[in-house]
Amino acid sequence: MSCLFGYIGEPDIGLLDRMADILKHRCHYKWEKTKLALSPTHIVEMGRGIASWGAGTQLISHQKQKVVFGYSGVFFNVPGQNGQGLNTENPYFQRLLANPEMILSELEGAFIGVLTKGDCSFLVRDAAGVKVIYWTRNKKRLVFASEIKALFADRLVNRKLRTRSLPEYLTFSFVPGKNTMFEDIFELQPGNILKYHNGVVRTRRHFLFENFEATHSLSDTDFSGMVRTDLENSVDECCAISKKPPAVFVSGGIDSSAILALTAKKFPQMPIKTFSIHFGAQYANENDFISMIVNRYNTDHTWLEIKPKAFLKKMRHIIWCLDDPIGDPITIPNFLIAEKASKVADVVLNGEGGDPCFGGPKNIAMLLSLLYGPLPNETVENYLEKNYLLSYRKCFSDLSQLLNPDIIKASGGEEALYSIITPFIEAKTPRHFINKLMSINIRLKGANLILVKVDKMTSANQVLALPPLFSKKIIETSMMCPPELKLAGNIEKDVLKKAVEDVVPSPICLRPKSGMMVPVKFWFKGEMKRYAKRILSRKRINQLGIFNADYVHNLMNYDKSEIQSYRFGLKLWMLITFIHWYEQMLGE
Amino acid sequence: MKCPECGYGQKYKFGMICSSCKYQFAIDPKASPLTDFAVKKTIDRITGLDQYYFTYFQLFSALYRLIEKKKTLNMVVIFIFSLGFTIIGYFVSLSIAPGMKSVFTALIFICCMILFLWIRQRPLNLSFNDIDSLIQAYTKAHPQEKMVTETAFEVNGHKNYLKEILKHAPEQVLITQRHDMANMLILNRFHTEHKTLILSANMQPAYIFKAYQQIIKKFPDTRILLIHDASKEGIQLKSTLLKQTKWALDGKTIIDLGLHYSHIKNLEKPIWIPDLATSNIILTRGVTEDNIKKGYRIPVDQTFPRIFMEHLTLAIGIGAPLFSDDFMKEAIGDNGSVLPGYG
Repeated sequence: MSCLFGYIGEPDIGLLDRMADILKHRCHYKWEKTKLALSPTHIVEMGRGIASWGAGTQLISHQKQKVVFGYSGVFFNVPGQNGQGLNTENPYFQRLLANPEMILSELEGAFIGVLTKGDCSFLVRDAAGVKVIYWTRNKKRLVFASEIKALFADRLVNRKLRTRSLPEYLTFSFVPGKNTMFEDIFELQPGNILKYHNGVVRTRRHFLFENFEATHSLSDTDFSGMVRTDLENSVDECCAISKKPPAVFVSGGIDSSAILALTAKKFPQMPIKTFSIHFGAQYANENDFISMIVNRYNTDHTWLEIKPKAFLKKMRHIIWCLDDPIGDPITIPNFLIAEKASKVADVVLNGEGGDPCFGGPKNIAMLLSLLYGPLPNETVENYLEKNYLLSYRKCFSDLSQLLNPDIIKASGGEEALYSIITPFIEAKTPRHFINKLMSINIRLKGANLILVKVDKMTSANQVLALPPLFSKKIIETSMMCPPELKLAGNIEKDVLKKAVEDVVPSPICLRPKSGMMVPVKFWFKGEMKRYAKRILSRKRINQLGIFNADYVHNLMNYDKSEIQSYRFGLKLWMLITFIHWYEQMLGE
Repeated sequence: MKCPECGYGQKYKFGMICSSCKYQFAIDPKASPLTDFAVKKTIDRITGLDQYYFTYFQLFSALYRLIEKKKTLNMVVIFIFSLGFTIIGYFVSLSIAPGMKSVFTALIFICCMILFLWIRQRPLNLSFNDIDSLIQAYTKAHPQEKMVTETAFEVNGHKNYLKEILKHAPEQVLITQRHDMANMLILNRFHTEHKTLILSANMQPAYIFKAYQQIIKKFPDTRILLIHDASKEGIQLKSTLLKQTKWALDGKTIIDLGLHYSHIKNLEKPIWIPDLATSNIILTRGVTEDNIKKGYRIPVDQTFPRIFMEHLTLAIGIGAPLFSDDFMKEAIGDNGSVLPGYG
């Protein structure tokens, strides 16, 4: 679904076309372009992949006013924009030109945008990070795009692996923050504006949701009522995008069930198209809960069974679509379900955002870390950071055995990883520890993992995915909620559950949190065993020079290995993802 | 004697310091059923190459099973020799008494098998002290950082956040009979991994016990789980805790995860540890009631930490005691026969 790309600076003939060619998987309905020449050596060229659901242009330029503006995605608070196209007569646009930074920071929706006014340019990303934009700067220009790979269309942009990203990827399963896997290529963070003026780049975070934390008791406030109102408004905004009702992805959990319930209420006469995934009857699944919610709302439901034989041939391409590697096995089902949904819908709603905003699975674990304090084998400094990184349950504890020692040294070791988390823990706001965790979850996991993978996987299938639970208003309200409403005793997301208990069946409300358990451990014992052996062959690993081939070999032989590594299936998946990504993005 | 550090094959006559790397051998191979190399390898396996903390009984059980495995290997050797003798006997009988060769061969075979079976059924003649002294000698010479003790470590929780922490509750509370068990689970991060408040029946760590008291007062429905050895003290743990008012467990549902004597039948080869003050014989596959009367016990943690924690996770998840029929059904399914890690 759509994309935005372009550059600001010295002209490069053919650059925009090359970028469009790289992004053609996101431009099924062709693309539009615009150009503004400020001087012979300073131009702005911008392109946008056209989406099936949107109507009208999303790029405008006005040579006389020396203005060019373009965006990809949707706005929720710009009157008359969605579906009607941009035009310079729109009063909102006039306000934008009068005070670009302020108006850009007020925009709500799921979008990325670029505005140039005179010799000053701005890049903007929405509050939660539903859409993503990358940028880089060289001596001649600033280049930007919805995907990193398009930046390489500029021959001055170097493909150089950022060594520090390797332990970050292995610890988090993604690269957190503004950095990417490449040196000098950056991801604009959510709720941020980048200003480019006279060759200087400055970024500023304008969406400071931490400041919404209540500083005094709000015991009389009906928070669940507030959440319900905000969620209904958010669903309304998402449903208004397209003429036909959106589809909904359901997982059986409270979040997606709430979204489906409220969407169905808006379209009482039309069965909503819903989709869910499972991995086969022999594996744990949520199908009973899914049936409960889709039957209640009489949806037109599609069950999608995911098996390795369905995706192995596509896996390399899917990882290419991911752009920056993301080692979460759920990316494949994300892609396949979007592929399925694209045949009948151009807008889908999902339940992303419920955990980061209202209670994640790390909360109780981190509270216990706080209670027990540093263990005898731990130093006082950084023990919270260490516990947080361990809570990701990826390869943090394996780094010293998995990675080449030179890489660990060059990347700054564990301290470099702690330094990503420390600012959140030490920040003055929010004060409450649960809210600090919420802040980390929204700004790291939400912004750099969840929303990015959904955006890439759905955009590759020409579908716009919208997460009503990740709206700007919901984030603000959730920060306002006292922590004990978000984690009531040991009940996660209590305020959200109360907000939707009238529309979501109580077994779903009462069930404990269960993540999407992709059966990678079993796949690597069976259908993917040979595949893994081929991709992770000693020869390939040694040629890469990044990983310890013996350790990878031990992971592969989990049933014979003395080590019996914890979560070996997930680790193998992360390695395979990385290798596919590396070979395609950095050359074979 | 193979050096566990450098792999050098040290000859016994050259003493107990490795000629290659100066490693200090702790165990005399002529006086012990195991060597330094075997003990080191066992510790490596238990810890998953230094990943996990372990208890004394986890090491004890692993070493015992290693010695027993060696005995089994010896059985295979004996059997092969028996077969060899039978074949030799057959050819000898051909020359001595060809008419009686069948009878002669059969007699040799039967005698060998009777000898074989007699040796096999004899219990492994190892006392508790045999293995304990081995562990003491090795750990004295080579202290094991990853072996937990009964000593409670000091908990230095973040006092600034205590008020906030106590507004919430863990998913469950796990009370262990022994403190080294609690230590092992905490140091292996079981508490954060499974969102469980862990402490021992002797109210340690003390700071955590104080937090427990406040949590249970504010959130009385918090799940309470017990874990203990199959021993006199273990089976009485629940009633003991109920009598101690500080635990405030009266009227609460307590899930006793075991180890219960009645579930031992589902284990292939549990290890019975004798009462330390009296008997010095270790039995396996013994009769339950007799063993109990003699003061024997089965430590609940007689498998590797990783496997033990997986079992504990399952037991907590399904709310069924360890190795109960419900547990076994989930752990090994209908087609499985042996629970990994035991026997």
